[in-house]
Amino acid sequence: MAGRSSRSNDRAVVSDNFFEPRSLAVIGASSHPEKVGFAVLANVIESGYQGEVFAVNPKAGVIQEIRCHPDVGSLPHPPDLAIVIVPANAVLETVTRCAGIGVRAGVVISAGFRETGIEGRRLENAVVKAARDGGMRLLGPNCLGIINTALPLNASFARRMPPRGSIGVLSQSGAICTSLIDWARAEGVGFSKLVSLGNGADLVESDFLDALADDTKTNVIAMYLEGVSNGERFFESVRRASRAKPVVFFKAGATTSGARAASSHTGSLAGSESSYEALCRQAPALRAYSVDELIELSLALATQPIPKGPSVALITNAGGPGIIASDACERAGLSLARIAGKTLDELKRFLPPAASLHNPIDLLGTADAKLYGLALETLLADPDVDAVMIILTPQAMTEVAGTADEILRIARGAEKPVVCSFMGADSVEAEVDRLQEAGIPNVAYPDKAMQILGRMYERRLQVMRPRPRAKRFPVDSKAVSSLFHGYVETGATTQLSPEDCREVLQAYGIPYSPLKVASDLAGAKRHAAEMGYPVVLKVMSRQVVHKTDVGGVVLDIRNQRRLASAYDDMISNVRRKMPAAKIDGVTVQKMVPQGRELILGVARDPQFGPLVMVGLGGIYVETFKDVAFRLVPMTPRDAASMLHELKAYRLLSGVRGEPPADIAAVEEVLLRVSQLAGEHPCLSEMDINPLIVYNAGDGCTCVDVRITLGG
Amino acid sequence: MSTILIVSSEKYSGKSSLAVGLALELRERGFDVGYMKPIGAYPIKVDQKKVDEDAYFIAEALSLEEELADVTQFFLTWDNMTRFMRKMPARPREKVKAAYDRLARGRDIMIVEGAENFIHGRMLGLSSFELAEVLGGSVLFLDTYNDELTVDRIMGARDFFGEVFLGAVLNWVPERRGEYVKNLLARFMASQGIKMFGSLSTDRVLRSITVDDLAAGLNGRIICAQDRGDELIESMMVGAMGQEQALRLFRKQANKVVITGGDRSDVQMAALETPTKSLILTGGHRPSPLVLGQAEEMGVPIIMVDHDTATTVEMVESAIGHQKVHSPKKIERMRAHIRDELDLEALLEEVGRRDAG
Repeated sequence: MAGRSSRSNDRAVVSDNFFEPRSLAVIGASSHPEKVGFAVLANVIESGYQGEVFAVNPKAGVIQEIRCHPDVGSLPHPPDLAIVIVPANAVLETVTRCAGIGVRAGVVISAGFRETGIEGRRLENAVVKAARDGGMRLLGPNCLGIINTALPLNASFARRMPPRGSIGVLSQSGAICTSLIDWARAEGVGFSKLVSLGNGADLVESDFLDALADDTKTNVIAMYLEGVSNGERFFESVRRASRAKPVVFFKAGATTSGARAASSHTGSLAGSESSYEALCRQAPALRAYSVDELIELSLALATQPIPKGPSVALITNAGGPGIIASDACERAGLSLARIAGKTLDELKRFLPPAASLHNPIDLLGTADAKLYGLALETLLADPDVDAVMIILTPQAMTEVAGTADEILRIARGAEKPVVCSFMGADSVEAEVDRLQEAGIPNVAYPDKAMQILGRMYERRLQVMRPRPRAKRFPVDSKAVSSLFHGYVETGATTQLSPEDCREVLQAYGIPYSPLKVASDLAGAKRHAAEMGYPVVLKVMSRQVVHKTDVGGVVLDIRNQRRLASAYDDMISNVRRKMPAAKIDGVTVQKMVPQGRELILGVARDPQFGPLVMVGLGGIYVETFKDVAFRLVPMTPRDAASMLHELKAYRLLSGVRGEPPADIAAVEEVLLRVSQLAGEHPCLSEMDINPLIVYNAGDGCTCVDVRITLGG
Repeated sequence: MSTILIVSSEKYSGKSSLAVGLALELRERGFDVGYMKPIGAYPIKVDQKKVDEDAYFIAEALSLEEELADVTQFFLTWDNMTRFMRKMPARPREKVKAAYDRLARGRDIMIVEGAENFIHGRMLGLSSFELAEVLGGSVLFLDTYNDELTVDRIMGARDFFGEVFLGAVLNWVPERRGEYVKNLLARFMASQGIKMFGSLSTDRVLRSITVDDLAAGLNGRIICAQDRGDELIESMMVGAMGQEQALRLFRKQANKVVITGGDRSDVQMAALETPTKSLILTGGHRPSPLVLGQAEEMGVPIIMVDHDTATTVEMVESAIGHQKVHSPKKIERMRAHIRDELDLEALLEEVGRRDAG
């Protein structure tokens, strides 16, 4: 409860003090125009901020017509927000004094902290501690600042203020913020709030995400991320925000080289790609794969209604772009609406005879503004059309301005989304600005425009899905805790013995085939006799990863005589092929009937915590990387959808008369594994390979299991 | 007066640890125990006098500093050997015997540590089997466990030393062979008339190396968390893969050092995310300030070396497991092993029986 109430306190501080301060102090205001302290004060004033503004500078008298206070202590009352721009070595004292007089929020723009090394990090930690001890929260340090276009307030050193709009922007890069602002001004895109997170020493992306979720001026949240400070909390915040409005993010550092650059830039380990993908499906959120997609999609979501279905009507004045958009339509998971009945009749009435009446509707190069208008009106009225996309190529007879007027007249306030693709640059530029400023998104290339519509529909699907709860099974969690504790305590190894792995499965009700470890042939014989033939013999050695390759696996051993010869062959094979391998013994397993093979696993993401993986087993997982991931806790829908996501799903559901596999049993194992991973943070990895799945009703069984513990 | 000569067939088998542990345990039982290592391995200078590094440390642990001058007589370094080939030292056996007599005076038990293997010292007539003759002691054979070789080595040593052979102790017995060593192997040895006084199980701590020692051995610089130089490293891993694979790998090993390039911040962060005692950055690249700050905060020392990764790996590999017993923590662990895993009564009885005989 304490956590929850302090989080709602944080939200109040962010909403009230950071977003809507009634007074603010620029500490480190400067009279030198080349200084950041000058630019920030100028921006605050020029933005038209109506609250009280204090400037603090011990030397200057009056800066930009504002009388300076020599220090924080001489302010007449504590401001709602302190903007700190003093040199790094003076930040600690400034923040301490601010907290001392009761300031509750501060934006530390100053750099020279964690990004500079050990001393900087110590200083940053000390600043955060001083702030927290004094009941003050901080944005930054090393950030661009914060902007609220509605208040209005530009408390940043960005050169200009973005236009007013409804996209709330969070960015972990200050440089991206400044370019976004510049771009937004050029394209007529408006922002509600813009927050540059800097080092995120105190308040982080989730704090501002929570506040933007509640912000009535923000319809869409757009984020530029390089990593998140706490994945599990971020997941919760996205989940909460996504209920209210679309959350779009771009994550930099998706490739190995990118991740390397990101970790050296942020000093944190980026979460895995799989986690971000899983987050999108589960939270849900929309992931943009380029910075322009982040902006274009956010703009479309902020200005247009979300399509209620996948049917798109495509209006064009040229064949080629129409074909490109048609291809993109299918790829984006949309379909071209079927034009028939009343709509078809209507179109026939005013379109030239040579025009194509079927989707894409080609108005021909001679199309004037009026024709565009008629077509748009007709198609928006068709109940079978969920969205309209308009392509315009600037030809000799094209009325670019007039067409834009028609679109603005008809599409504004329509209940269905309209997205334009005015192609080209020079001859359409002015009209594109006009369209975008009025809230009609334009994307220069028709395939990309279609893609944006597809992503908007994705949001529709996400919103439509019910939100089931995570399922909990009655399990023996204590037994597993004490088993894990034993390993952690001795610190001898992080890898559970095969027998202990089975104990874990047993405690969590996950079906497995029996297994025993033997150090010699006599032991192997004893175990085989106890569990009953046929058995499987496998070599145990840390160095042998691919047992089959070195003759380290013998299947279907039916009697003691065969066991003895298999044992001898195996040991000598492994010795010969891998002389460096230390053989720890052998495992004896009950031979299980054949079935369809899956692999299942848990990986612990450094940011997002446990991640459950499933894929088709054997060579498929290595060759096709056909795997699906979900974050823990998983819901029954997650379990079902992750199996569906596999390309190999049809092999489970039954191909060419083959009976379906016991998919329900696999889903249950997935959920039980999710529960296991969620309840035991020290479980860092788990591999079940293979999980043999039998026909529907016959269940499944884990054959080989590996569990790694870690801190 | 009894003399126990600890010998083995290879270096780094744990003779020094056994010697110091045994001496302390016997003292605990009321015996006055002395120590000697006539043939030294690594000479160091103390008060302008050359002493063996191990012997110096052991003498200190046993509070025998005053006798240090007598503990080691010869170093068979290559330099010395070439000198001896030109001109042999005078009466080396007598010199050793005289020192031994001084050290043994009034003592109950003398523990004499043999050279790196029991042939070494032959040049001076001071190989282990000659020492046994000169000093009149009994031989305790220490063997590092090996699946295939242990039985032959022990039987061979018995044949080699003959009458003066006391019995054997096994060192570094892996857990999976514990039962075998205690039962089948011990029974077989008994049937051959060989006494097994116990087997010391593998101990990662005893094989570990401190961060400071590792850094010194690599000629490297510790650039953060210098106060954690005494942390013990038990194993190493090399980071030459992507971040996710690195995480998977690094989680499998605790108390390790990770070796990677200075420019691989993803691997460095993955190492810091998993149980890692230190990072070695090769190629002379400094890490990103953010990584450096993170490592400092977590108390993980970063060692910067100028070698390439392959050379560094080779050096670290030979450093881990070839460590000396030079830390009170390690001595305590060795004593615990001796208490729990050696049959001291049987050893004393056998020594006594021989002395009586």
